[in-house]
Amino acid sequence: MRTFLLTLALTFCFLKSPNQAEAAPAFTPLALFTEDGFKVPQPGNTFAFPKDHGSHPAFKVEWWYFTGHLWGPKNERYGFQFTFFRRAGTPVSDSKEPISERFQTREIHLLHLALLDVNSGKFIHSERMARAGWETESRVGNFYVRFGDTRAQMDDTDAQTISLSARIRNEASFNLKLRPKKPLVIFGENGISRKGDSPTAASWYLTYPRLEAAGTIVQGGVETPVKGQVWMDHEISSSQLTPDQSGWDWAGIQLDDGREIMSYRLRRKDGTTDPASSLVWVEKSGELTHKNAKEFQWEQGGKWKSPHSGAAYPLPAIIKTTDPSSGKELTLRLEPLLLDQELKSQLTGIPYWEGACQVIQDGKPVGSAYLELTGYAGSLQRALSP
Amino acid sequence: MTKARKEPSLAHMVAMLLTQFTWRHWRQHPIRALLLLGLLSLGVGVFFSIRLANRAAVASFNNFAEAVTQQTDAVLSARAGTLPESILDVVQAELEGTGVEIIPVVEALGATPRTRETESIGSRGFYTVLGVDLVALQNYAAAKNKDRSWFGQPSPEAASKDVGEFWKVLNSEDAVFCAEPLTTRLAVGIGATIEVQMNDRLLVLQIAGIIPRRDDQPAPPDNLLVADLPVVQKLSGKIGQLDRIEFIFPPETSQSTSHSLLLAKLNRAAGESNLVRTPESRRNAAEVMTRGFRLNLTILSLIALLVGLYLIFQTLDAAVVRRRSEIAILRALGVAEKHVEWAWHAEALLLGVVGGVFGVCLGWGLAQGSVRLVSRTVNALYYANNVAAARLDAGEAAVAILLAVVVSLFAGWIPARQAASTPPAQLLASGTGLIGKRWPVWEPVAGLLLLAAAFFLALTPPIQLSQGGRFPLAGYFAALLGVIGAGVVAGSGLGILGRLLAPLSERSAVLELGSSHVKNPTGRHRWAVAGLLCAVAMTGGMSILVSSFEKSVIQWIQHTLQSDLYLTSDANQAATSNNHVPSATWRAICSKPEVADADTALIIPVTMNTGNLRLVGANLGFSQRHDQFTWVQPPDSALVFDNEKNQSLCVVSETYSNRFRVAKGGRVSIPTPNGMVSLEIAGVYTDYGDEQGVVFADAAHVSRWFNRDDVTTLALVLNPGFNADAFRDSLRREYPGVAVFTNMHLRGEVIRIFRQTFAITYALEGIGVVVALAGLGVTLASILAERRAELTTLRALGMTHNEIASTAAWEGGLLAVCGSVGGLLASLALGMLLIKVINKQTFGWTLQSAFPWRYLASLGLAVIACGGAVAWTVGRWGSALPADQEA
Repeated sequence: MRTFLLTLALTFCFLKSPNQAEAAPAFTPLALFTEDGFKVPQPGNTFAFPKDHGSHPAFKVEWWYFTGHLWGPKNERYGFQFTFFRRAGTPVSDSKEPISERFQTREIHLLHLALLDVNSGKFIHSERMARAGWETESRVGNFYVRFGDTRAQMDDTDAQTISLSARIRNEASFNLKLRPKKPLVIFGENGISRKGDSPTAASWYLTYPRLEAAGTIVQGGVETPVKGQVWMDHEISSSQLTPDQSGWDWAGIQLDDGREIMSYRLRRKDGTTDPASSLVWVEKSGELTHKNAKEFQWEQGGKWKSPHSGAAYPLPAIIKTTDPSSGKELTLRLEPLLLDQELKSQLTGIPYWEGACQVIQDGKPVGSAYLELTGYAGSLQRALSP
Repeated sequence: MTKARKEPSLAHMVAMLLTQFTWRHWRQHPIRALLLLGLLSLGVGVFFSIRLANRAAVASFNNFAEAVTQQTDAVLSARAGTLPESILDVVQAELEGTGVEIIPVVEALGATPRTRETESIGSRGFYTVLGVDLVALQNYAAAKNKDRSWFGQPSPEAASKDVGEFWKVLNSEDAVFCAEPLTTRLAVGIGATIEVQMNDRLLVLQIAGIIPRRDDQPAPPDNLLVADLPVVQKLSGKIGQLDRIEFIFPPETSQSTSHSLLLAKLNRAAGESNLVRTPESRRNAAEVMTRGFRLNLTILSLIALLVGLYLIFQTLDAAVVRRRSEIAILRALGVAEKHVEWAWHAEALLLGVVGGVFGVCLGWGLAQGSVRLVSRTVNALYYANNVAAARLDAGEAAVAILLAVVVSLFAGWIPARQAASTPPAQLLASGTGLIGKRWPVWEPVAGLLLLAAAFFLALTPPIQLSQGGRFPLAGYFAALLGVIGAGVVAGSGLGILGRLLAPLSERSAVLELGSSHVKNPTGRHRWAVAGLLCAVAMTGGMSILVSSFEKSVIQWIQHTLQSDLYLTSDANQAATSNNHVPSATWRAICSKPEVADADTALIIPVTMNTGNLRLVGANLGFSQRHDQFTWVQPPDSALVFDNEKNQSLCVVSETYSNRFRVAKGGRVSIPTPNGMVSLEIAGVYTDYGDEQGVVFADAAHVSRWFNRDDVTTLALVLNPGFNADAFRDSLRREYPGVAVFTNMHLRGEVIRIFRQTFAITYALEGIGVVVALAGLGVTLASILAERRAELTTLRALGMTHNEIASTAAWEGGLLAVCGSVGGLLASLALGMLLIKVINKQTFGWTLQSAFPWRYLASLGLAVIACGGAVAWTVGRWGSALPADQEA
C-alpha cells in the first residue's frame, strides 16, 4: 500500500456484480472486473518473475515505489523517493488503435521524485506527467520504467539487481544500484491486499523490504558516493479505496535488528480506522506476521502545519503493536528527519507528506522509516484537475 | 567705476526670444501655424503608421506554442516538409541528462467555412490549429495559468465530472481549446462546436475549454485553437509527423547546461536535413521574408515627409522675411548673432517636437487602417496573419518624433543662419529671404549635376543582405537625387515658361501680372515647383511601376494559366496555408471522363541557410505540352520534361536565379527526408507569383523524396464538349472541401490580389500629392504676404479682389504646370529606375515597361487644376488687405 493519490484521483468506478472471487470473510467478495472493464486483482494468483515485475496493462493502476536512506563517507545523510505511476485510460481490449504510437492515450505516467539532504536540511522534489509513448515507458514482461532520462530497471533477473537513475530538474540527481538483502514478499491474505469493503478495493502488493544500495548523489555539480538501504513496492490494482475513506497513513520501517514493518491505516471520514487497515512484520527470514486493524494503533505524537498547503499533519507518528518475537507491547515513534517533507503536488492538486524518519523506541533509535500521510490537505476525492 | 555687465546665458536669451518674439508671430498667424504643423504631422503620421503596421505584421509571425507553454530556447524543424516522429528518439538520446524540456508541436492552418458559393481568395478568416501534447503541457502549465486549468472546465468543483473531462478530452478526436475572445465573438460556449475547413474536409470540432492564460505570457491570439497533438496530426493528415520540436533549456548552471553546448547537441541530432534555430532567428526569418516589402513601404511613406521638408524650409525662410524688421531691431539692440540663430533653431526644434507628437497621434489612427492593408498583403504574399490593430510602440514613436525634429532642424538650418548672419541694415533694406532672392546662374548646372549623379548611382549594384536579400540603396539615392535635381532644373525652367507665355498674357492685365512673376521667379517659386515636382514624379513613377508590373503579370498569367479548372484545398486562404488535397481525392478527380489532361503541384517551403525558397513538384511534361513557361533561359534539350529522365534536373524561377546567383547549368541542393538531393538547373523561367524563388522539379520525384502523395493544387484540361462551369459545379457538389476555380475566375483573382497588394502604395502617393498641394498654397501665401505693398498698389489702381485672386491663380497655375509637367517627365525616368533598378535589385523580376498615359495625364491636369484653385483661394485671401478690413 503506497500513495493512492493517483488511484483515488483517477479511479472512481462503478462496480460489476460482485461475488466471483474468493476473499477474506470480513470483506465483500471481489469482483472480476471494474465497471469500466479493468481486471480486479484476485487472490491465489501465481506470480511469475521477472514478468510480474513488469507492467500489467489489463489493470488500471500500477506503481513502482522506491524510498531509501543513504549515507555518505563524511556522515552525510540522505532520504529519497522515486515513484513511477501508471494509470490506464481505457482497458487494453477496448483501446482503439492509437493515432500515434508515440502519443497514445492508453495510459499516462506520473513521476514523483524527492531528495532530502538531512545535514543541510534541504528537501527538493519534482513531479512530472506524460502519456505513455516517446517520453515514458513501462514495459510488459520485465521491470523497466522510464520517464525521460529518469529510469528504473532490473538489470539481472537472477540476482534481482535493480538500477535507479533519477534527476530532479537540474538541481540534483542520483544513481543507485540495488541488491535485495531479503527476498520479495507478497502482502495480504492469499496474495491479495484488501483496501476496503468494496469488491474492487484490492491490490497485488509486491515488496522488496530491504535492498542494499550503493551509488552516487550529485548536488550542485558535487558528486557524493553513498550507501544505504531501500524499500521497494510494486502494487497493481484497478480500484482500491471506497468513498467513505478520507485518507491513509503508511509506513515502511526498517529496524536495525534486520526486521521490517509495513503498516497502513485507512482513515474513514468519521475519524475511525477502516477494518482493512493492516500491519505486517517481516522477519529476518522473510516470514510475514499479519496484524489486523484491531491489533495495532496509530497515534499522533504532535502536529506540524505545512506553510505550503496549510495541512496539519500528525507528526511525529506513533505506532503501537505487539512484537511477534517477544509477544511484548511495542511503541515506535517515527520522528521526521525534517518536518517539511511535504510534496506540493501541483499537477494532481493533492499535497501529501512523504518523508524520511528516525525510528525511536524507548528513547533510542532502532531503525529508519519512510512515512506517508495523505488526505490532510483537503479531500482526496478530487479530480485530476491540474 | 562701472560694474561689468554680465552677459545673459544662451538658454535664457533663447527662452526670452521664443516667448517674446516667436510665440507672438505664431499667435498672430494661427492658421498658417496650424497648417504647417498639420502638414508636418501628416508626414510624420504616415511614416509612423507604416512603421507600426509593418511591426504588427512582423509581430504576428507568432510562435503560438509559447502562448501555451513557455518561452522556448530553440526550435528544430525540417528544412523541407515535416519531421518524422522518430526523430524524438534521436533528440532524446542526444539530450539525455541535460534537463532540456522537449516539446513536439504540430501546427495546421484551417479556414473558417465558406459562406458563399463564389468568393475571393483570402476573404475568409483562418485558424491556427496548434497540436501540443496536452498531458505533457500540464508540466509547464501547473500553477502558472492565472485564470483556469486546462481540464475540468467548466465546473472544476465537480470531482467526478472533472475526471471524466480529463479522459474525455484525451480520448476525443475533435476536442479543441480556444481563446476567450473567440467564444465571445462567435457567441459560443464550452461544449459548442466550431467549424474549421482543413485540407479537403470541413471539421466540426467541439470546444472543450478556454485556453488558460499564463501570468508570464501575453493572452493567446483569438484565432488560435489548441488540441491534443495526435488529434491535430490526424485532422491535418500528418499522422506520425511533427512540424517542429521546441526546447526549453535549463538555466546555465554548469558546463553541461551551457546553451551553446546544448545547441551543438541539437544540431548533431538534427542532421543536415533539419534545422535548429532560436526563436529569435525564426522570427528574424519572417522579418527577412518581408524585408524588401517593408523597406519599400517605409521609403514610400517618407514621400510626404520629403515633400513636407520643402514646405518647412519655405515657411521658416518666409518667417525670417516677415520678421526681418524685428530681427534687425534685436540685432541693433545688441542681441548676439548666436542668440538669434539659436532662437530660430529652437523654433524649428519646437516645431519638430510638436509636429512629431501630433504626427504620432495621427499616425496611430492611420495605422489602424494601414495595418489591414499591410496585413492583407503579407497574408497574400508571405505568411498567414490576421492582424487587425496596430499597437502603439514607444520606440517607434520616439523614432518618428526624432525624424520630425531632424527634418525640422534640417529645413530650418539655413533660414536660422540667414537670420543671424545678415547685417541689421541689410535686413531692414532687403525685401526677400534667402529663397525669395533670385537664384544664382549656376543653379541649373547644380541641378544637372545632381541628375548626372543620380544616373551613375542608378548603375550601382545593390547592397547584399543575409538570406539572399538585396537592398538597392544606391537606387533609392538615385531616385532622391533625381527628383531634387529635376526640381532644381524645373525651377530654372520657370522663367522660360513665363517668357513663352508672355505673348498670350499681353491681352489681359491679370494674365500679364500673373505671368510676370513667373517670368522672373524667386527662389520661393522654384521651391514650390520642386516640391510639386517631387510629389508628381514619385506618384507618376510608382504608377508606371505598377502598370508595368500589371502588364507583365497579365501576360504571364495568360501564358501560365491555360487549363480549364484549378483546384486546391478550400482552406488555403494565405500564402503559407499548407492544406492539401489528399491522394484519393485528386486521383478520383483526375480519372473523371471530363478530364483530358491534368497536372498536380505539391508545394513545399524549403529553408536553407542561404535563404528560403519553394520547391514545386509538378508535371514538367504537362507544362511543356501546354506551353506554360515563359523562359528567361530556356532548356537546351527536352530531357527536363521527361519524368523518366529528369530525376536530377530542375528549372528555377528568375527570382531564385537572381537571389542565389545561379543560372542554367548550376546546381541546387534540396534537403529531403531521404537526404539531400542535388539537381542541375536546366532552365530559368519567369514567375511573378513568388519573390523568394522557386525550384521546379518533376512531381514524380518530389513525391517520392518526401513520401507524399497529396497535392497542393491541381490543374485540369477538359475534353472537348465539356463545359468548365458545369464541371466546376459538379466538383463543388461532390467535393465541398475543395475550392474549384475556372480559368477566368482564377485570372481575375490573381489580378485582384495583385492590385490589393498595391492599395497601400496608392494611398501613400495620394498623401504625398496632398502635402505638395498644401505646400503650394502655403508658398503662395508667403509670396503674397511678401508682396503686400504691391497688392496695396494694385488695389489702389482699382483691381478687384477677384482680379487679384485670378492673378494669383494664374501664377499658382503656372507653378503647378511647371511642377506637374516637370514631375511627369521626371516620373518617366523614375518609373524606369523603379522597374529596371530598384524592383530588379529587390525582387529580381524582369518587368515589361508600360506607361499609364491616361493616368499620368489625369494626374498632371488634376495637380494643375488643384494648384490653380488653391492659388485662387490664397490670392483671394491675400487680397484682403488691412485697409479693406478697416473699410
